[in-house]
Amino acid sequence: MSQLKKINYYKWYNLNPILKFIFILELFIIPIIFTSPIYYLITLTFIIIISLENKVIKKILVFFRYGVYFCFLIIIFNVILNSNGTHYIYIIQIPHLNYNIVITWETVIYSLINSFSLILILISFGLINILVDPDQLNKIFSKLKLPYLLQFIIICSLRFFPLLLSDYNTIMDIQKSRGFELESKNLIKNLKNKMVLILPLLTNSLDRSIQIAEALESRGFGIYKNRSVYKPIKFDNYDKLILSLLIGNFILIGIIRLLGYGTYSLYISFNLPSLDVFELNLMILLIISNSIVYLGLRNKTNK
Amino acid sequence: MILVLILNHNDQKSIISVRNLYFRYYTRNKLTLENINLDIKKGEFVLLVGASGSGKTTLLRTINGLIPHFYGGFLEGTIIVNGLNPIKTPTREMAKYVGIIFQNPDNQLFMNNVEQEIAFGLENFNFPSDLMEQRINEIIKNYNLENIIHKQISELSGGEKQKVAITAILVLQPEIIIMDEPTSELDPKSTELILSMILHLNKNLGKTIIIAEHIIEKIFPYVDRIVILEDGKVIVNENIRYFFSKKLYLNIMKFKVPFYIQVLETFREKNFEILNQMDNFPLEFNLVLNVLNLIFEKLFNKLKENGKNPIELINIFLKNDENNNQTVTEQNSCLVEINNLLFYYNSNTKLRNKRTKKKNSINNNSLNDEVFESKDIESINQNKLGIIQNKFFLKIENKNFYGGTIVGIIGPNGSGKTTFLKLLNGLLKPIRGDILICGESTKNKTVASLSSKVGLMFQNPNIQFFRDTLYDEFYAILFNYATELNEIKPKIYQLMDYFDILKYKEEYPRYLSQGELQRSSMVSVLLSTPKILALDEPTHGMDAYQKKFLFDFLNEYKVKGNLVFVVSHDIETLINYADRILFFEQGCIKFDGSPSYVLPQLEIHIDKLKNENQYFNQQDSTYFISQSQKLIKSIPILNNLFLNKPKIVSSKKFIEFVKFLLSHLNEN
Repeated sequence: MSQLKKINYYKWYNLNPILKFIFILELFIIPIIFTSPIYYLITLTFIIIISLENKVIKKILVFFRYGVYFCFLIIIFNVILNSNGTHYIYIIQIPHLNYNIVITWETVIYSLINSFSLILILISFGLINILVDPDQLNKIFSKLKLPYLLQFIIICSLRFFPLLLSDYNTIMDIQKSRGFELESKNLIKNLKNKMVLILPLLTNSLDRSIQIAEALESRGFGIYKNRSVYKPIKFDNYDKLILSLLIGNFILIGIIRLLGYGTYSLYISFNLPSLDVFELNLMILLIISNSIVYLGLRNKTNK
Repeated sequence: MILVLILNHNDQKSIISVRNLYFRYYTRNKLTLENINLDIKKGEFVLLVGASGSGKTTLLRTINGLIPHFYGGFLEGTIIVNGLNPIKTPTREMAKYVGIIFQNPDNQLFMNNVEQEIAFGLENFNFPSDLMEQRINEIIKNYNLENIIHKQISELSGGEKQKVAITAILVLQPEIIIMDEPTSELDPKSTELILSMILHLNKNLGKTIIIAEHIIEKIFPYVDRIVILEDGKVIVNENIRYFFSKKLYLNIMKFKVPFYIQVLETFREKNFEILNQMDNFPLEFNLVLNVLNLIFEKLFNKLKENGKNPIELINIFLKNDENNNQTVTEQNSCLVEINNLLFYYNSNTKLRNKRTKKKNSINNNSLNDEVFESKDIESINQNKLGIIQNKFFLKIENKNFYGGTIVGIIGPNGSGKTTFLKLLNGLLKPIRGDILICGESTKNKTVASLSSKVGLMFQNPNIQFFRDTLYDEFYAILFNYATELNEIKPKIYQLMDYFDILKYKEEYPRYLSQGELQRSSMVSVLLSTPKILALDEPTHGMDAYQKKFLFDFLNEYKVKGNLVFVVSHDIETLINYADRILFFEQGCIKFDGSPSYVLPQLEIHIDKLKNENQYFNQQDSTYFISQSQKLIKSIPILNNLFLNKPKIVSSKKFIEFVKFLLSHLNEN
């Protein structure tokens, strides 16, 4: 087996999946629990470095593109519905409703920071998707002793999602060719017509699920309570060291949050994000620790 | 001695024994299996044949216990498989002894990576890690999986996926392997790959194999026994050699005799003594060729003795054939006109389509020329397989297609055949140039508006039906076309009746067999009575009888002044029915003409490419040469006589040719 040439889809493909997973999970969690843009910048830097290292920037941008639509909505709703803040940009009066839309610098910046956080969550999720393939995820779950039925459901949903997309496109082509108008300029009509796609897709997925279940039965799935794992994840001392650093990072993030750091409030009036010395020290420690983890993983890849 | 006798006795013991088996699905009123009695010995290779809906799949499901454990129904009778009763033993337990391969490889592979997929079954049976590695290494070595073992499943071709599905079963080392039309969704190249693998399993590893297959041409010489099902009953259960030598197929409707056997039979009918002197009826291809060489030698000698010159006779036959082939298609109106068409896929195709549409609405004459300069087209010509910097392209100069014609489209995978069909019905729009359908450009038309003129039938019928019943499905289509309500029912009934699916009108479409679905799919396309039919691999999953039925219908359809395009890997059927053949290569139409013109040209072209070591390898090339051409090429005496002459490309014509020669023998 060792003679077989391993195909490296990206540099980190053969790394210990648990280490990859936890490291990117950390980057995923930071924008969820912190509100300060400084922490967001740190996360973004690491995401960019990892993406460049693995040459997956283009793939990450796909997730970024999806995020942009949501960001647009966040900004619009915030600006229209949130009138907090003291630095006014514009006031729109709606006489009949006796309502004023007050646009302030605070709401604009607040919505931009929120969008930034959303983008980070999406692209770090994308990074997990790209760098940890479903089979590796399966091994992580079995290491975590998750019930294998649950593991299988997760793996299956990841494995069959692309097939679902391809079915969707085929069904769209078939329905169009049968004379169903799916290219109407009228949005409502278009949405209504899309029903001729959704129902077939559902029927088709159900049908596929029966065939999958049939094939699973025929391959002995569920015959025993326990299931062995082919090439289970193994930890050497180096991996253990990186793992302990990662656990340390999570503890550090918890401490920063519990001490009330990592937050940024714009209201009532706009002010620049500030750091006290202790928070700065903790933050530097977090950056250093993450850098060591990154360099450690990089070093392992190059071995 | 006693031990040897006992071993021999055990070898002869049935590994599968079915007695008085009756089965009916809960959802159906009719018995699917009726009084089945079957004994299959260890190491036997059994071919299960039958029209779609005859009960092949159901019988296979009872052997591994999917019936009654997974598919419910009323079951009666006894089955013993490897000493176990699958009716009482759970399917997952039976999996140790019986491996099953299904039609669609995508629905039987669960993991992301090939290696992990092969390990999946072993993990289920709780194998220790080292034993798993040992077994997987053996499988990799024995089945040359080195190149794909670390690939993602999504990266594999259909044939490779099916190969992985088979190896994933083999790793569990089951005694019996059952296969339900494992090649029905594969192209010829992948089919060959899988068939050779199946032969290896039986001949070298001694596995017991039961295969339900509609492509019997390639597999029958290696099979031990043929079992034919009709309406759920076993009507033939015989040794394959006995079956052909005693002409048992004559009593079976819908059984198409393989071509080589037909040629031998033509001679046997005329009491050619060589065949009568033989102890065993020849089935293996090489043996058949040797026998035919002897027969033709003898035939030509006899002709010469009778004062007939074989070369002259060949010339007369070819001349007659040429005269019969002359058809005047220009009498019909031009339904499809292609003007300097250029299309390519990339991430912006959708965007470009929209842009082209917008531009056209402003100025119909200014096409999107700037996207592709002539310089680019030159560079395209130098590329292979129609792929340029990961961009697929299709380039067709001016072509006209007339009504009253069946146009067969052949070519390697990825050469642009399906893309061409999608351009015809407007699913894809040309980047440059134009396609005129009945005189109107497809550029400003939506697919829906074109659908009444161009009916496109897609490849996989399994995902084309969405309603509860077939009738509802067809009703929805006609209703959408704003057909008068009182006309809908008669129209649907008429077409369903013609295609012999009226009996399934209240049936849930997904319960139908592949062949029935294929016919239903045909009906759904014909509902709008389009002038142009575009069919993508319509013969997939069809047996010879159904193919004949379909093409007879297409013949009738074209006579009414309609135009039919058929993309197919099934060269044999196409050359028997198509008036015109297009051979696609590298995104261009390389040859265009009648089958008797295109196929010989193609043979020369492939030989030339092979000599230049180009991308056509030995295996690929055989898919574009007809059986008749292969036969002439492989029989030295015929090859010499046909030197520098157009070869007979159709198997039907070849049989006519043999009869023609024999008739001259009889005259004297």
